[in-house]
Amino acid sequence: MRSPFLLLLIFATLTSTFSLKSPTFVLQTLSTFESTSPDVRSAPPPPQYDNVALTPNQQIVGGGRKLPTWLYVPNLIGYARLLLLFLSLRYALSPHPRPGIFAMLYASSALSDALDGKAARALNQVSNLGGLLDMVTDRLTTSSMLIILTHVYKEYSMLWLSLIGLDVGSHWMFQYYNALRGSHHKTTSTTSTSINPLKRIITYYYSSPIFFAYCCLAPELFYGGLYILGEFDSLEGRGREVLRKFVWYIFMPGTIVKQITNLAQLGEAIKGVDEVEAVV
Amino acid sequence: MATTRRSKSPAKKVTKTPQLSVKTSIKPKKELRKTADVFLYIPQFVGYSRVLSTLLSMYYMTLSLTSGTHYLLAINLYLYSFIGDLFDGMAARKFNQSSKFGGVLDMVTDRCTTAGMLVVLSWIYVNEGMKLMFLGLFFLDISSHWMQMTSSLMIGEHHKSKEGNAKRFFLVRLFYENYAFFGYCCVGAELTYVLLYILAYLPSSPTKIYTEYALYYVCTPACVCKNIVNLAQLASASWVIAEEDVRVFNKGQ
Repeated sequence: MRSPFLLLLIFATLTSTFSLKSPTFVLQTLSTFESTSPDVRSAPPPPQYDNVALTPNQQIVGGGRKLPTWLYVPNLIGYARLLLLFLSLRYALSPHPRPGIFAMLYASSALSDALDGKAARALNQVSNLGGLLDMVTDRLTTSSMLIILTHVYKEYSMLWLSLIGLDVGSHWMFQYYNALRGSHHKTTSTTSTSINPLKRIITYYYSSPIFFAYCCLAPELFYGGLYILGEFDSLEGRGREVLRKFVWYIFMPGTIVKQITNLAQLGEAIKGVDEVEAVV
Repeated sequence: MATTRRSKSPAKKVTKTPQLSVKTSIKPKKELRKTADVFLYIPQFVGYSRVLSTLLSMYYMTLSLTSGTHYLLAINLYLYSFIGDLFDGMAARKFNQSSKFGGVLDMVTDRCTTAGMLVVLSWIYVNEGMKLMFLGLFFLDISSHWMQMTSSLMIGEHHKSKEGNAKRFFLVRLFYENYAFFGYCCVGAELTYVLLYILAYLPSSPTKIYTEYALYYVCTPACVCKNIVNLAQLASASWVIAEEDVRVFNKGQ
């Protein structure tokens, strides 16, 4: 496999940077349950078309009456993402691995992550199911990549397994406590001051779009880069050197920041215990 | 002002102790707990020890991949994790220390334990089909439990409660209501993974053959059962979330 494949992988993940949700949007939804999909009532109005009899929304979102949530287009994209991910594993883990095909399928799955959010907002098909499907698929994507790394770099397995645990655990707890807080509407100012140090980290993390994009992409590119370094034996000398430098000097710091943010969100979730334990 | 008592009513008695009347009653002294106490509950300690046990078990499983010596220690630590899962619930009820934090700690530890075991099994079994099967089970485990918990939270119920599962597929209700079925599925599934792990390391012997029979005829059906229930959980939880979506949407109309 030559460097073009590498370039394709990097290109695919970079293009998804520009379609990431804006950080201000994310800030707003920090303390609400739907981390990736806002309440339908506050969704933006559908786009107006001049010379078309029906807007896309009238056909598709004529109420759940016309199209059930699980058949919404962004959710169909979500199912496709899961399928692509599972298929890609087959090419990575077989006795005769095909890293090139794996890279293409995995990149397609990751790229579609940007598509489903855009489709949901464009077609006014935002749903809780979609948001949850997106979150679960994200976790499974990262976990799959880390599992593949355990096969490629067996001696660091504990590190990869710990990263899986941190990723899944921190997002699970964070979502759980946000959901509980949201349903009880009991956010008190005293508790918000108690979690200020953690919230400060998270707010800083979301404050700059470039930094946010860098931190979100860096882990994927770090794991992907390590995979390529480990599996693509035919990668040429200079290409390999460049990739190695990218992986260790550019992607690794971002990965570390992302894990710190995961820990901060886990901590914030745990601090949320006092708000919800009192309510029976 | 002192007044001489002319009326025939008796003098009011001045008593030092409060009098019991119909309206008020003596309340028992309240035992208020603080937030920090939740992290120090007894079932939480069981939970923390489970996390530690899982980590150590994964470490020894990694070690035994190369050296082949610590597999029994690894599996014992894993079994402790599994058994601790039973005890933390019992301890919570016994000491009246149930908490949401304990519940979510329990759930997350379960998922990480099963995930770790499935990853280790995918290392050991070189057959591509087996690897994919273990990873598929990993996908199913995480997604089904995540959806189940979230869908129950959305309707404001506990994910194991009768009210929470009232309208769902009968397998899901059966799983959470019938303790025998629940136990059979959970224990059988975990035993399947444990036996699959041990069988890879055991030298050939009559014990091994009997263990293999136990695996195929007793444990594997339970594992299949549990994963069918997981599929049912996933489907019915998705349905409930979609219902909630439609309810919110129709309210906004």
